[in-house]
Amino acid sequence: MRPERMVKLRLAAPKSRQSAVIDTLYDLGLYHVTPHVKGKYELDLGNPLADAEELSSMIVKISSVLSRFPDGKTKKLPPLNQKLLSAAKKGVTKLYADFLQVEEGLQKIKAEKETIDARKKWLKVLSAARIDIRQLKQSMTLCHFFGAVQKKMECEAVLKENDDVNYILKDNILLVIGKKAEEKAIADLLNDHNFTAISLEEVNDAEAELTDLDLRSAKLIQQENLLQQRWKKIESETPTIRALEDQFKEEVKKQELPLQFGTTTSSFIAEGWIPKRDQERVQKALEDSTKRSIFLEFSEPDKKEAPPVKLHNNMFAKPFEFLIEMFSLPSYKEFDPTMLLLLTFPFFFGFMLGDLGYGVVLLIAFYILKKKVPAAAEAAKVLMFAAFVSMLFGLVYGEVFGFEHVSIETGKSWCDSLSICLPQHTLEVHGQEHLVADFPRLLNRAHSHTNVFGFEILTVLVIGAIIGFIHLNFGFILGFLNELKSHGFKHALEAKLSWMIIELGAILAVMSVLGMLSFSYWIGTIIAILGVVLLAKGEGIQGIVELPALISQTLSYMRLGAVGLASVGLAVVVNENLAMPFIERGGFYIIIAIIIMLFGHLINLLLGVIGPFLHGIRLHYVEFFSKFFHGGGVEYRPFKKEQKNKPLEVQ
Amino acid sequence: MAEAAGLIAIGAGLAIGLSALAAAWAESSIGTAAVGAMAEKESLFGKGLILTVIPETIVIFGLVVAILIIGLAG
Repeated sequence: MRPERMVKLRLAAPKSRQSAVIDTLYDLGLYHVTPHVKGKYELDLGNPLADAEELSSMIVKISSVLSRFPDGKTKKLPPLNQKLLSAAKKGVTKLYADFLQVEEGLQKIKAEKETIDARKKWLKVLSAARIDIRQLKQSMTLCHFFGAVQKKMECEAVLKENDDVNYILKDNILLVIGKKAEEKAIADLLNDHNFTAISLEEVNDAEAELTDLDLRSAKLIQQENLLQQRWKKIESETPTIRALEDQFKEEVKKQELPLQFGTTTSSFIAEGWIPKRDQERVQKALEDSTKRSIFLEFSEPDKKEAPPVKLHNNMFAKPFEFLIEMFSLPSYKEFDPTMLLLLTFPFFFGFMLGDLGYGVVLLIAFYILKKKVPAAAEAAKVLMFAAFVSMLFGLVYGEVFGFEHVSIETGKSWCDSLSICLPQHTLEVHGQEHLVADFPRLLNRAHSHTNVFGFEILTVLVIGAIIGFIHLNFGFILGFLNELKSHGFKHALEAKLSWMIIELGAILAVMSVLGMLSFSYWIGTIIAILGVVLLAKGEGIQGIVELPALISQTLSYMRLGAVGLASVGLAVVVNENLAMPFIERGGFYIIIAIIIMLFGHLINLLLGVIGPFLHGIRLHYVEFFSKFFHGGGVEYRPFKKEQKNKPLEVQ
Repeated sequence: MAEAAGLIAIGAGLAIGLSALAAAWAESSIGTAAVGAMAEKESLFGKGLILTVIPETIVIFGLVVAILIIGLAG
């Protein structure tokens, strides 16, 4: 019921042993390091080991290569040693250089191909014109314009009307030849149609240049193919470097650990926590790996220290730990309420859902979830517990998929063929009496009423409030024990027990008023007032303000009944109001009825998981935990190998 | 008698309907804030969820009152 016991381990060793110590700690995977604060014991922070910087730059190289090959497999590699590490570093450096070269080469080729293609496009227009460009450029009487035009349709229309100019327009490349005298007019016209000139200064023979460019293109394609082959080769190496990336990251983690140490010029000191049960193992491993040139000091946590928290529960309670982690880890000195969740959470869930049919379906569904999605395995286990309890409560309420009975004929046939004989029951529907075969039950939650102070109240709601009363008082007792341990009897009495005294007084007073007790109601009232005075001393004005919560929180547990009523209500609507009219028509309509029931119950089942889960856990977090639980524990995170994509292992 | 039964039904409907509306209103602002907090720190999911469902109590009380009203009518 308490988090794993921890001991503080302070170790000091010469720097020559530093990497051996780090390796041992890493392999043990038990040491939760408390970072050294600069100046503590007048010691400086440590520096990363020699390789850290180089390895970090390797990781950058690898990830820049991998960024071009985002998906793929990871190869399984043997663990790194000094020899493999230096080989890996060389390999990565070479691969990276190759990668840069190939990538740059491919980019250059791509860029050049684009330039060539663009140039070929307009050279083709020139060559199609069959004009001697050299003569055209030297001509004294003719002017020429060559370039790309945007509004080509409009431009062509204008040029067509003008008899003094000749033009060629292909795609959007335009060559216009006109009289020198009209040069300005043509220029203006072209400018109106978003004309961009292409310089012909270096062009002399379009035909010849085209041939040259084709040759160049062919050469580029050859080069590109070679580079593509190298690119493929790099790609084939990615599974290896993907694995190396993980290994390097782990190695860097080791090499950077001294940043959390305190150091002198020749020695270092580290502080942290290990589980107490592993003390001997850790001691032996460290002494062996350093040939006893290490100083180890194990000490119990003192009052001011907050050791990291590792929950420690048996295999049944273990899956429930995630519900605690979702809220807050208990602090080291508190007790761990996981076990209490195991006892009450499935009970609450089952009490709310309470349907044999739903319970069976959920049990199967969560079993499949557990098998298929390892990440959700813990939650699935919790919900399997809950589904099982729902089945039990289904028997208590006599409900199967919202049905409380079957028709008398079905009951008879079951009795004959399966020898399951259900008791007969007279049911009144719309003023008519029907005889039905009822499922046996302890409590009819939808219909049975209890008389409380002259009010007819549904029994499940009353049971809910009674459960709440017990649960809350259990919380107060736990709170009392917690306070007793941490702040002594006086505070425990004033802050926690006072609530129970108030309750006792109020109950006595009410019972006296109702004539159930023979003495005056003043006795109860005085006890209650005494409780309030104690509370005011212990918790101050805040306690007094919280007083009404005593009633509202107890009533809040009525949700245990209410959520279930909503669930069974919906199931009854699906069965009797939606599906039944179709079943009564018979024939083809029965198929429609089945579809309605499938969908209806699926929706109700989803709500039936979400509702009871949220309300069940909320009753714990808000109402129950507030009585005794403080939380705020620091998670125990030992220095160890990263576990990638692996489900949480159950110890 | 039928008129009285109708009024009782309306009363019960108002009890659950208005309290559900109030809870929804409260939850909308809490939910928005919770999602905002989660965007900053994903581990706040648990706390956000709990804070979001806190106003559900109002509906439970509404439901209880509605059931009591119907019960009073007999």
